[in-house]
Amino acid sequence: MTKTILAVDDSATVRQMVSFTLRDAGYEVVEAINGKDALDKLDKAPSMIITDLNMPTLDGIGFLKQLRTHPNAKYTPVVVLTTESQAEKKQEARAAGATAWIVKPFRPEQLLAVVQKVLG
Amino acid sequence: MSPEIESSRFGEAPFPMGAPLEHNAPAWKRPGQSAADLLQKAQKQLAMVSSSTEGSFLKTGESLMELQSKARQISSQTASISELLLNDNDSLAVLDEIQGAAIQGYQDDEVLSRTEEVEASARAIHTAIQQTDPMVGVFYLLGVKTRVESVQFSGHGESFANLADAVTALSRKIRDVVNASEDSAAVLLAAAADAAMEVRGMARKHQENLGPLIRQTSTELENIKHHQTRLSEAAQKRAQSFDRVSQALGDVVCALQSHDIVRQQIEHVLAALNGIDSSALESPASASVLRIQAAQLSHSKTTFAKSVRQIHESLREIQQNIEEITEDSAEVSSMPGSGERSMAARANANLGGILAILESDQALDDRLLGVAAGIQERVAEISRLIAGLQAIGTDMQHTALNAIFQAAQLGSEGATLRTIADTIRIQAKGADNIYSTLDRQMSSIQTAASALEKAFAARGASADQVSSLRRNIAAVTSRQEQTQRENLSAMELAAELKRQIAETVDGFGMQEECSRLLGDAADLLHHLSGEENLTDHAGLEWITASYTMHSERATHENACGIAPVTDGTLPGQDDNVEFF
Repeated sequence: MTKTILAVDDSATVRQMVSFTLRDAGYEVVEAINGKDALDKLDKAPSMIITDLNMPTLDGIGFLKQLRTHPNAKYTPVVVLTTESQAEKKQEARAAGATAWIVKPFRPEQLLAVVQKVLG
Repeated sequence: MSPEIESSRFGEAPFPMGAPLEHNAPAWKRPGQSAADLLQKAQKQLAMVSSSTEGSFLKTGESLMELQSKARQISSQTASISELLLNDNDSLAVLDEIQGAAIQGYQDDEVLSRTEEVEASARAIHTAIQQTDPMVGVFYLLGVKTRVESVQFSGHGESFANLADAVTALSRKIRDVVNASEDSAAVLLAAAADAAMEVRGMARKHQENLGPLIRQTSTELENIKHHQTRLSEAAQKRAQSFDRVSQALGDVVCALQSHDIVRQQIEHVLAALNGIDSSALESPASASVLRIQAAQLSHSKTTFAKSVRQIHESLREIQQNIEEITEDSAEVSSMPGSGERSMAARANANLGGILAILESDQALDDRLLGVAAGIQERVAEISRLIAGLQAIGTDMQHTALNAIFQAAQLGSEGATLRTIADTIRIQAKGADNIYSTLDRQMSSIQTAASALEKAFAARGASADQVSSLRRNIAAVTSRQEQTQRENLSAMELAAELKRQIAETVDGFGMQEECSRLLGDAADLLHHLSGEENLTDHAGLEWITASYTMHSERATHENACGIAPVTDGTLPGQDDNVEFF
């Protein structure tokens, strides 16, 4: 069965890159432009979520915290994809329930390797 | 597109330039422009850069990623072909061995040797049986003499008359059995001689026709292996080239991400500039903001310039590898043996010739197999006859011994009879020796005939092996054709990649122009900020709140004199992933 991944980023270029990389590898991708948009799309029951941190309306940390109380996504693995490299932010994301952390820029095959490792 | 720009497309010269600025002189050198005008100009330039970089990624990013994916697939497929070709070579080595074994298994030498052995044994048997002919006459005469002598002793009656009858009857039996044996041995000899003649003829034909075909096939197999190795090496090289193209395309995509990061940094700068009171640009607070944003833009320009260099280098790498692929593929296409009638097809045709010879001999082999079976039966028949002769000989000896004893009782009167009886005994003993020798010869011919049957049966298996060989060669032919198709696909793909990359480069936008605009904007902001050092650190927290990157924070601290300069390096590709 095809697995669905939710890609959350306010940057169209990042969403494009993530979507292409994962679709090329056989995954179905649903895009969201910020945390609130992503929460509205959890009915797609994604197997995994890739999210930026710095987004308008609802940022990545806020999204993560709400995600972990959502019945559909309590245990869904989340990979943070961000330009941030500050240790405090990383710790914050980890505490909020993130599974992995990728700093941009990244190679498509790196993203794919992380996804495949997380999803098994 | 002009040839100059076309030839410069892959990095020796800058990318195609967009529309030039209205004036070539730095903006702040133009008289009559206020600080506010200059600030506005800087903001416009930055907005243009931001829009251009996002637009270029959206337009070209997907195209590049598709190309990268395609190149990666081709690399993987080509590497698999290379592997298959090498496996084929291992198979071909086995095929060559099978061919050798199959043809050796045809056992012309073995069959000929066994056939001649059978013929020689049949001849010896026939001769030996013929040599027993005189014995028949001797026994007949002895029988007559016994009868003549026994008449003299009619008073002693029945026993001597019976002796004469016994000797006569036994001698008749010997005559009949010897005649039958002789006839049978003659037939045996004729069959063996005919078979030997035919086998000799077949062996001669094989030497004339089969031998050259086998040698030719072996040479073809060797040529095929050599060709396959070259194809495999070429495919491996092509796979590596496509892999490098894929890697380089990935580098371009990464570099474009850096553009996007710069775009975000520009947006933070624009947000900071929008927060300045444009009517108080000379104030220390505004000057601080302007100075910091100038530093941020300088840093962004460095990052941008690095990514542009990376793109140039990657595109050069891609062009180089595409040229290699094109040249190597053209070389493969022009390799000897790459034509329609491939070496494998020729080897297949040779094997077909070999198979035709083997199959045409099959009828003869089947008949000779029947002859060998017939020989076995004939040998068994002669053996029975000889056993019969041995039994008769034994009876003759017993009869003679009885006559000797009886003659001895007659004293001197029985001397002649005794002599005759003794002669009969000795003749019978001699015959027995001959039959024993014949018996051994029958065993020998039986063994040879049995071996001959096996040798004929083995030839059928050789034909099956050669058929199997042809099927394997057909698979090799198919693989060669597939490789050629893949090679052509690779050439087409290389040409397509070249075209698509050229189109994609068109979409990169005005990278050099953007870089210049960033530099100009940084210089402009620096000029507007004045030459004094920053002092108003305390009022700058609202700027730092917008930062999302370590590099922005580091640049800010350096501009404020807090920390050393960063070199614009983004996190390394190998250390940007962490699992919790």
